[in-house]
Amino acid sequence: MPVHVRGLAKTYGAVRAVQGVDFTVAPGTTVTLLGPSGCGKTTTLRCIAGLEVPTAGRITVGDRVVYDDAEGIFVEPERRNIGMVFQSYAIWPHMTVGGNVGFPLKISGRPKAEVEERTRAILQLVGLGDLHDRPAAALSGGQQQRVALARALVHEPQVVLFDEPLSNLDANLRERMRTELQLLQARLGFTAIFVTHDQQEALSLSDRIIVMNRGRLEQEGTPQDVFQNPATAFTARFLGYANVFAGEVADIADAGKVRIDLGDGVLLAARWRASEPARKGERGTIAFRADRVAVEPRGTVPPGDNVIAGDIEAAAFLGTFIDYTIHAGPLQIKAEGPVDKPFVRGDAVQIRISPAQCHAFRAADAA
Amino acid sequence: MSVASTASGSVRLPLFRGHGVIAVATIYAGLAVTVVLPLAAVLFQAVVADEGLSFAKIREVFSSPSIVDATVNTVVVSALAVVLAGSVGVTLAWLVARSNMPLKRVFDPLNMIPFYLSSVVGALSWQVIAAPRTGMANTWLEPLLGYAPFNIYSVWGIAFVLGLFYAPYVYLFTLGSLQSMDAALEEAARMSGASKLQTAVRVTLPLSAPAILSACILVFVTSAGIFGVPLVLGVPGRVHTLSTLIYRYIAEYPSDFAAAAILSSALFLFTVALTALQMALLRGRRFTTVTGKGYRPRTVDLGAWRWVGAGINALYLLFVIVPFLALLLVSLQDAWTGSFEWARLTLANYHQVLFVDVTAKRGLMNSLVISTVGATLAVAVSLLLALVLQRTRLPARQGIVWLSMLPVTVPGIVLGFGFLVAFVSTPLYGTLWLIMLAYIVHYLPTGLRNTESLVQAISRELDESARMSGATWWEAMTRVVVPLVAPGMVSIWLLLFVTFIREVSASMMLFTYGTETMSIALIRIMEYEPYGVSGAFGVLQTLLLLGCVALIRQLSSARQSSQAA
Amino acid sequence: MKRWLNLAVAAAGLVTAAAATARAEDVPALAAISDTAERARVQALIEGARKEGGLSWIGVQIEPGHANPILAEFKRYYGLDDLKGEYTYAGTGEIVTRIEQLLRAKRKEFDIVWTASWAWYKDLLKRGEIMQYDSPHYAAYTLSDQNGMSQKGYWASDAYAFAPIYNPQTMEQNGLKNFNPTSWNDFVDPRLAGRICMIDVMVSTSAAPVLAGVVKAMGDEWLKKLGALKPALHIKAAQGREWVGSGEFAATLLNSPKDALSLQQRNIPTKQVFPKEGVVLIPFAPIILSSAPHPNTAKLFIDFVRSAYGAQTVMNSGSLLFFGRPGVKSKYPDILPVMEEVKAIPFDWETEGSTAAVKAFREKLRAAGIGAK
Ligand SMILES: Nc1ncnc2c1ncn2[C@@H]1O[C@H](COP(=O)(O)OP(=O)(O)OP(=O)(O)O)[C@@H](O)[C@H]1O
Ligand SMILES: [Mg+2]
Repeated sequence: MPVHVRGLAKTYGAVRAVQGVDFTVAPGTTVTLLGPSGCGKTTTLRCIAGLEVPTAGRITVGDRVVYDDAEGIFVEPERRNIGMVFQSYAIWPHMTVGGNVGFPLKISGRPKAEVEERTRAILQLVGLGDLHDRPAAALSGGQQQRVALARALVHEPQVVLFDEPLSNLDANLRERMRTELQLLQARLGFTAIFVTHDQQEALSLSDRIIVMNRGRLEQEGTPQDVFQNPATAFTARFLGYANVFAGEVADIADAGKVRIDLGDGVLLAARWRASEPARKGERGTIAFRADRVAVEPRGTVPPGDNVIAGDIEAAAFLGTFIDYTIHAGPLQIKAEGPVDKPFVRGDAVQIRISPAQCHAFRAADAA
Repeated sequence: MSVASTASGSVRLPLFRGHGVIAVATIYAGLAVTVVLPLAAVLFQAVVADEGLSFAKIREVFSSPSIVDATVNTVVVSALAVVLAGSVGVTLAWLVARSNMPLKRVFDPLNMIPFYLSSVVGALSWQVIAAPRTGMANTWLEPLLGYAPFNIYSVWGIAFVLGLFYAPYVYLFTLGSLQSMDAALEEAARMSGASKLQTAVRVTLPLSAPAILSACILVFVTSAGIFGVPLVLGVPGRVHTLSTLIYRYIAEYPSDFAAAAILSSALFLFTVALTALQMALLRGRRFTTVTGKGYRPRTVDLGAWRWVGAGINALYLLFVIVPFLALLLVSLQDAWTGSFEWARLTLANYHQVLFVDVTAKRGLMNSLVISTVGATLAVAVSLLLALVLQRTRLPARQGIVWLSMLPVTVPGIVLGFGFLVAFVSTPLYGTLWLIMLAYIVHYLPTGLRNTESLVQAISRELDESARMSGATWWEAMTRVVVPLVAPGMVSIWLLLFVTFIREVSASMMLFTYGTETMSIALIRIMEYEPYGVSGAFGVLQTLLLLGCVALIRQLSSARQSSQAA
Repeated sequence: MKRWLNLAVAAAGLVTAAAATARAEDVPALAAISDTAERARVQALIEGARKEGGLSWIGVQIEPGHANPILAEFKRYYGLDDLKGEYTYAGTGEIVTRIEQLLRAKRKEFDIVWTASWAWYKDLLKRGEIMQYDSPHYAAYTLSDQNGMSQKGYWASDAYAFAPIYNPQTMEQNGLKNFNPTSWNDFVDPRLAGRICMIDVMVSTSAAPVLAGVVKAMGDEWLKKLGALKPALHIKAAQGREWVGSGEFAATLLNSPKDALSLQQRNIPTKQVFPKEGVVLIPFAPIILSSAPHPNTAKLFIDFVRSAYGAQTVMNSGSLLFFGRPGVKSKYPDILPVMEEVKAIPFDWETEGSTAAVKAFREKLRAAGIGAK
């Protein structure tokens, strides 16, 4: 079942939690809302669920309008037939595991036998087949997570919402649950909307990612697209682009290629990411990832585009790579180098970044 | 799809959702009749005479010297009670929360006991100890000192009994604040070179000041409006307070409702002003010292002084317990002659209150009915309001909070008088229902505040997940929230039950023949039965209350251990 | 089967009713009446009372335990076996408040008010709140008439008096050996400073005129001396009684004989004094409210308690009163003489006992330092 969100806005007093968000989730796919704390992910999700009443906009689930401010439609959450897994899992401690999971069926008045049968089936599916009669208060974090999942799926909703469902689990469990979720979705075919502020999770789980910033939609696309081609400095920074510098557009080549002057004669070539063409002399921001920076001993690289001289200021061994902080003219550049050719503090180096890996944005975009 | 179709569950925008608006309107109407109307009736009666708006009566009332006297007495009694309750409460709380005083675990629950007992019975008991001539303490000390040192029939006596009985309020507030305070704040003081005592006085107590101040203002307001203790102890020593004076205006013939209303209004405005002051002082300061929960602060090693601490605490408990024991002795004598005499030993007084005296029997039954039904209704109303306030987005909720919290500022005697004025010509007057209604309204803030904190402690996601599972709001409340708060509600029920059993002030204004409550029956019995009979009735009431306390303790410790598991 | 049972029950009911009517002829009250017109009148009242089935009475002075035998005897005397009689014991001020509230609320709750509040009775009378009823027994209330305590067609009074009670033992401990008081002057002895208590006349409606009467007889100088003793105040007579009992105070100034008796019965040596200058007799009369829910029963009740037999029943129940009709004897003559033997301070309840007069007197008391300012 598709979900359409149009012009969604929600304000709490003076706080504009969500302002004019539009997106569509195709049936059977997973969309992740990604963004820093307080950007309005949960609010958006809760508006879809019906737990918040939006201030404006229109939401449809399948072909049914569940909210429309112009028409004055608001469908109560229990009538939307949407499943939801909460961040805290929200397991009811006064019921058994079976009581929790069977609740949606019981409340819709299904016969006892059917409730029992479907509850057991879904518990089997999430791997808790033998916990049916266990008091829900006595479960581990991972088990609670599965119970919450089973409860959200048991009445076979076409849309399931997840608010940071994995954030309370330890790293190993998180990875396992991620895979299991994907398998479950493949089997049951529900449409999933996911909220997270963990980019790894977003990248691995989703068909599409929606990056949010200050209540607005910042960028939308496939994980690869968003990761490789951030549309704004904000997205770049949020997706772990460690090097973000402000400068000025020095010259403009064709096909969206520009050179940014970062001061002290340091110029970096980059791809212009803003929709409108760059103008010479305007303020711009450049961003590139630490792992795309090649570090070589000084003098080993012929001078050319995007080659800068610098000194190692700090080096930190991080297992699979070494994290460098390099002083290069006005810049402090983060880089990652292989562990087999370590530099130490004070080493004179040269760094090189492929222009294709450098993204330039209009300065106003850099929030 | 039709916009208004309920089958699809879509309705016009939430603000106009029919049943929500009806619910809010009903709540407002209920509060208007039970909270606003009685208070408005008092204020109205104060300024409106037969001929219309009139301030002449107000001038007349306030130029009477007895009012000036009563006002001074009220302020002095309340201030002294605050000083006593404050110093005792804070000291004991610090000893229990922060020191290594021995026997803390025993003292802690015992220190709360006066909170649950009737101060009228306390006043009755203290007469045995400190009546000027025949009080036991006086007859023992007089030969040594050459004079009798104590006089319970005085401003000091009233304040003393009130202070003893209200110390638990300060104790409870301070203890809570001390236990949730981050120990690092105190450790930092020690690291900066402060001694243990300096740390306690310069850091710990100032950090608890908002809690202590809150409790002290509560004690002041309650003392200013209390009726039973000044009635028993004040009148013999010609010490009138505003509350006994209000009662006198109504009980005297010809009764003077206008004067009573004027005094009530003055008392009410005074307590409102104090509460406003408290709110202004505490704005935004309440939780600044709490940084994390479950953080047990370290205790201070008092060395040998810890036995002194234990002694102080034991002394407080003695002051509470001994008078009750003395009252027990009185209740076992056919006539009280200032000391226990074996020849006068009898159980006749108990026989009298349990089987003979109709007022006593009726008072007991009435109180059991009012308290059982009343506490149940109060708990139900509190729960409904708490759910509406905490778990809906209905409009105008803040107004509901203000109105339901208003009675906290109203002294019982004023509220009772308001109910009298407002309902005297309705069929409700003269029934147990009216008294019960007054109780429920007066203690709605207690019930609501406690219930709200229970509901707040239940994560919203628990009922939201029920909504997402297809449950309506009502189903989500009844099947998830209510079962989860139920154990806590039992304790609130018991607390209200206890409070209703010992209520005096509002009942005094509202009882009629046949609707005497236990406390009223006690006061009535004092009017004609021998002292021993009143004593026996007081002892019975105390035993009933202690039974409830034991039950409350039992339940809350069971709940804590089940939560820990 | 069930129908038969119903029938049987109905039949049984009829039989009982018939038996009751039959018995109405020979109830003790009717047996004692020879005059046929009077007989018919009383019989009609009895029949009315049987339909009403209840009597509620509010009063002072007669304690709850004493009311029961009175009601029981009343029921027996008129054959009102099924009557549900209820007695409310309250202070004078309280009764006034309660009844006024009920009147204001237009509620019918009480039939009989039996208290001592002359000014209020007069007030009620003016407002038409007292039912007119001229009981044939009022004629015998000669003492009441002589003392100006009757209101023709409405009530005839008994009386009680507030006078000093003291505990000779406590007196002795306080250094007043051989204290044999006969005069009000003995109770303003400076040695009694701090040893004496009295009812708070600022609160008590009945005690205020009494003290006013004593002051009238003794002079303002006496009042001044009393003020100098700084008597402790109690709002209820029982408190003063218990104080004298426990030895907290040696004497209480204005208590009634029943308090002295209560202490004596609990083995506390107690003496009641009726000073030679006299006491104010407080008219104490039962009246029927116009709004009485059980008027027939109420009239019978008045007949009963005003009859020679009924008056003696009241006396025997333990209520220690000076009866307004001669010939009612107390079991405790040392505590309670008969009305003829006590010197009465002449007192005009209509003027000296009026609300205004009491108010003025209270101002005087305040000036003397007795009672709250
Ligand atoms: N009930 C509320 N009342 C007022 N403000 C609110 C409320 N709920 C959310 N907000 C505000 O709305 C904004 C968005 O909140 P939201 O919970 O949607 O953020 P989020 O993206 O889920 O953040 P997080 O990652 O921390 O969960 C925040 O500024 C938050 O403070
Ligand atoms: Mg969130």
